[in-house]
Amino acid sequence: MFKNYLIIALKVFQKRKFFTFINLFGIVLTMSVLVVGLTLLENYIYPGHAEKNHDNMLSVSYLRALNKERTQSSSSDPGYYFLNKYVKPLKSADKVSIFSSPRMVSVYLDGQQVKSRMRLTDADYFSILDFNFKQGSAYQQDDFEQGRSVAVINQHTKSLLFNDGNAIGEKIKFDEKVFTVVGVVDNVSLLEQDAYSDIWVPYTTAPSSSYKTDFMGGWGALIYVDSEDKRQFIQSEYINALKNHFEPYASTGSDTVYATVYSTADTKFSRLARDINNSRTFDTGDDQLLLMLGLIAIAFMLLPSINMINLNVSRILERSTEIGVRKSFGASSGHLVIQFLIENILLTLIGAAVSLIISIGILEYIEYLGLIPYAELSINTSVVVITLVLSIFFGTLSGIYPAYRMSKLNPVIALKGAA
Amino acid sequence: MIKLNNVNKTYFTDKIETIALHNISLEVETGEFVSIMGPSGCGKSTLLNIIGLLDKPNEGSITLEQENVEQYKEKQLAKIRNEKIGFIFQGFHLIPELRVIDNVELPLLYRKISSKKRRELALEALEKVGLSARSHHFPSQLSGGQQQRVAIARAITGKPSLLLADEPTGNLDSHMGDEIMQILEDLNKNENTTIIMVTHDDDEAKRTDRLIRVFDGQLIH
Ligand SMILES: Nc1ncnc2c1ncn2[C@@H]1O[C@H](COP(=O)(O)OP(=O)(O)OP(=O)(O)O)[C@@H](O)[C@H]1O
Ligand SMILES: [Mg+2]
Repeated sequence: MFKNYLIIALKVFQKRKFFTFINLFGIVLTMSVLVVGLTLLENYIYPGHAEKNHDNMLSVSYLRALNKERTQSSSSDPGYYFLNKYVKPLKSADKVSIFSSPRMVSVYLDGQQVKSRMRLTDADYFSILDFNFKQGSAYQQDDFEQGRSVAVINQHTKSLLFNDGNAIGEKIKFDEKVFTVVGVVDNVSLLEQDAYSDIWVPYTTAPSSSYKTDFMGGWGALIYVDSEDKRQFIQSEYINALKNHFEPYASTGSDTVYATVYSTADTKFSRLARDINNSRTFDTGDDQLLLMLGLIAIAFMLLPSINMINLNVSRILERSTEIGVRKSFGASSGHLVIQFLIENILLTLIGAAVSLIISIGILEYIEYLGLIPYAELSINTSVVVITLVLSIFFGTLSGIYPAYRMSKLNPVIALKGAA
Repeated sequence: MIKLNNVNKTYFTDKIETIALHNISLEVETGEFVSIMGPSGCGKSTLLNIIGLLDKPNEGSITLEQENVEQYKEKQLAKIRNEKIGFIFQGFHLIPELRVIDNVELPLLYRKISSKKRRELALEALEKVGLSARSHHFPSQLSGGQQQRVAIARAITGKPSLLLADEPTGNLDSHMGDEIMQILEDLNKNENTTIIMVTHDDDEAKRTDRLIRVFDGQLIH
C-alpha cells in the first residue's frame, strides 16, 4: 500500500511537472539557505581541526568592566593582566593558555613582503589546541620561558614564503625582529576563533612588556579540562571569583576605577550566543539563541509551506476526478489523507535532497571565494538528519490541511465537477 | 440483493430546491440485469448514486444484502463500496496520471491484498474486456471505447456482486456500444453479477431482464 502510494506520487509529480517544479523551487530555495546556515553553525560549534577537543575547552573572550557607580563601563576582549590574574589561577583547570588576538604584520623574507596575521601565545597553547604539524613542531615551554625568537607558521604562509620547500630553520622577519621557523601547521579556519592565525610566536618575544599591565583588550584565554563534566564547575568557579574576589582596578591613563566585571568561560555555543545576543552579563543567553535559531528555521520554512498549502488547495479541483473515483471504489477519508500526506512529504524530501546537493555547491563556492579564510565546509550527518527531519515536519504541516480538505470532498460532487 | 424504501432526495442550491427523487421504492434481485430509462435530469444518476451508497437520501432506507446501511459511518460505507459495488460512470473517469493497469488496480488498493495478487486480478479483469495488451498505456492513448472497457475492468476487478453503470455506452458509437453490452451480458450470465444500468437506448434496454422508467424523480409503472 505504502509502496503503491509512493509510486503513484512519483507518477503524479512526473505528469504534473510544472506544479512539481514550482513547489520544489520554493522548498529548495529556502532549504538550501537553511542547510548552508546550519553547516556554518555546525562547523563553528563543532570545529574539527585545532579546536577539535572543544568539549574539553572553555574560552574567555569577553570582559565588561564598570566603575562603582556603574556610570562608566567598557567592554572588549580581555587584557593580559586580567586573564593572568583571574583565569590562570583557576583551581579546577587542568591547563590554561593565554594568547593574543591575531594582528596583521608585514613579514619580510629576502626582500619579499607578505601580509600575515600573527598571534602571541604561550607554550601551553599548543598542548591545548590540536594543530596538525606538517613540518617541525611547536615551541616548547623552555623556548617560551627563554623568550627565544621562534615561530610556527601555517601552510598558507609557508607556501607564500618558501614554496614547496622545507621551512624549518628558515628565518622570517617582522616587527623589526628575526624569527626562526620551528613548525608548519595546517591552515585553521576562521571559525576556530582561538586557533585561527598565520603565524604564532611566544609572547615573551614581544618588544615591550607593556601588555602585562593591560586590563582590557587584545587577549584571550583557553581553559582545558580533562573531563567534560568539569566544565560547568569551572564556569561557576570563574563567575564566583569575579563576583567575590575581584580587586578594583584603576585603569592606566584615566581615573576610572573598575569595581565590577562581567566575563564568562564559554563553550563554542555560549560564545556565539554572547556575540549574537550582545549579552553583557554572566548570562550568555544560550537559551535565547537556541530559541532564536529554532524560530528562524520555522519562519524560514513557513514561506514555502504556505506556498505549498496554497498550491495544494488550489489543486483540489484539478484532482477531483481522482478523489471521486477513489472514494467510489472504497477509499475512506483516512486513506486519502494518508495518500496526500505521503505525496507531500515525498515532495519535501525530494526538495531536501536537492537542497543538500545544491548546498554542497554553495559551500564549495564559499570556500573557493575565501569568504571565511581557510574554512573547509562540509555537510555532516547531523546537518543531513536535521534537514530531513525538518522537511518531513514541514511536509506534514503543509500537507495536512489540503489533505483534509481533499478527503472531505463529496464523491458525487467531485465527479460532477470533473465531468 | 437491494431494496429501496420510500427514498427521497432533494438538492438545495441557493434559493432553488430540486426534488431529484420522490418516494422511490424499488427492489432488485441478485443476478438481475436491470435498466433504467428516463429523460435527462429526471434523477437517474442520483438514483444510481444512492444505490451505490455514494450519496445519502434525505428520507427512506436502503438495504443492501439484508444490511440496512442507514446508520453506517463513512468508513463502513467505503468498505461496502469497496467490496460489493463496482461503478461505471457516465464519463469514463479514469485517472489520467496512471497507466491502465494502475487504474484497474485502484479498488484493490483499499483491500488487504499483496501487490502481486493485485496485479494478477487487474490483468484478469483487463483480459475479460479484451485489453490486456494495453495495460501499460495511459488513458489518453486509448480510444473512447477502449477507455470505457478499462473503466469496466476497474469496476469488476474487485469482483463486486453489484455493478452500477451510468450510460456506459452513452459516449460511444453503436458498434462499440454493442461490444460493451456484450461484456456486461457476459458478466451477468457467467458471474451472476447484479447489474443496474442507466441507458438512453431502447435496444439496449430490451436486452436486459427488466426496465425501470423514471420521470421527474418518480418511478412509472
Ligand atoms: N449536486 C446537485 N445539486 C443540485 N441539484 C442537483 C445536483 N445533482 C443533481 N441535481 C439535480 O437533480 C436532478 C436529477 O439529476 P441527475 O443527475 O440525477 O439526472 P439524470 O437523470 O442523471 O440526467 P442525465 O440523463 O442528464 O444524466 C436534476 O434536475 C439536477 O439538476
Ligand atoms: Mg445522469
